[in-house]
Amino acid sequence: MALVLDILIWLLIGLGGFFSVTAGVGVVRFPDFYSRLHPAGKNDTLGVLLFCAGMLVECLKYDYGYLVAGRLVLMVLFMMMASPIACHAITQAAWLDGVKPWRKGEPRR
Amino acid sequence: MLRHLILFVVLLGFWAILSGQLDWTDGHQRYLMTCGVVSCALATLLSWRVGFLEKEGNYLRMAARQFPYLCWLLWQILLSNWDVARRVWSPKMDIDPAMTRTPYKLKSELAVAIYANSITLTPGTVTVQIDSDKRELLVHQLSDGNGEALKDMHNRVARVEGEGGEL
Repeated sequence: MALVLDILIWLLIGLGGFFSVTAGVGVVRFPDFYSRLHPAGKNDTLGVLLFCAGMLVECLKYDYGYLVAGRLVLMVLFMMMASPIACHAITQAAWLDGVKPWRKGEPRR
Repeated sequence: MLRHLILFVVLLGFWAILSGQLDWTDGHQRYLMTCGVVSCALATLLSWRVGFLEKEGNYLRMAARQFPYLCWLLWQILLSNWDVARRVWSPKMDIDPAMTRTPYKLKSELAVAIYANSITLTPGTVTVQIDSDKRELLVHQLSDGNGEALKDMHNRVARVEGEGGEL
């Protein structure tokens, strides 16, 4: 049973790591400001979500783990609200400042 | 009145989770728990004085309806993440970004916020600006063909809100 839990935990944390790295690579590879924010806003959120899910499963092993589990759930809910809002605030600032979106065929910036 | 009671209970739950001090036999923890109850009551009292809870529709019903929506949203987040990850790692990087405007007919500010956040989290789109005069959202998308998905999402949020106004 403990082995199954461990495998599940490592699977979740590994996937979270994969998506976080993907977010980083996406930020470097994408051509302009707006498209860079897509991986930063989405993959990062899922990365954190999966990390927290992994740690949540880990919590179930211990007494009083439910307290930490509750905090993790709160964290995930907060992240799911805060990260898109931050993303939106940054894009809106760029848009109001007159940053032109990249179109297909242009050189990358 | 009911709303304030609910707020009080929710705040108590919040306190209990965050502090984790729930042993009534321990003198120190007993003191902390009393402080928690008092500050929750104070916060509820203040929000009643400010009229914080009288603004928008029925929170309870909305919260109950939000649960299936959240589950659906989680699934959509997984799908869209897979989509973006595929684009990030593909050597050709097939993206064709564009700015589009999409209308909305949601009534409350909360529902618009939920919709805008959901757009940012899902199908290869980011909300850039909310134009509340024209009732339009300015959306940046990584590739074409998200119109139907956005419409579907809008109608789901409208059902969560429960005041009609589907597209």
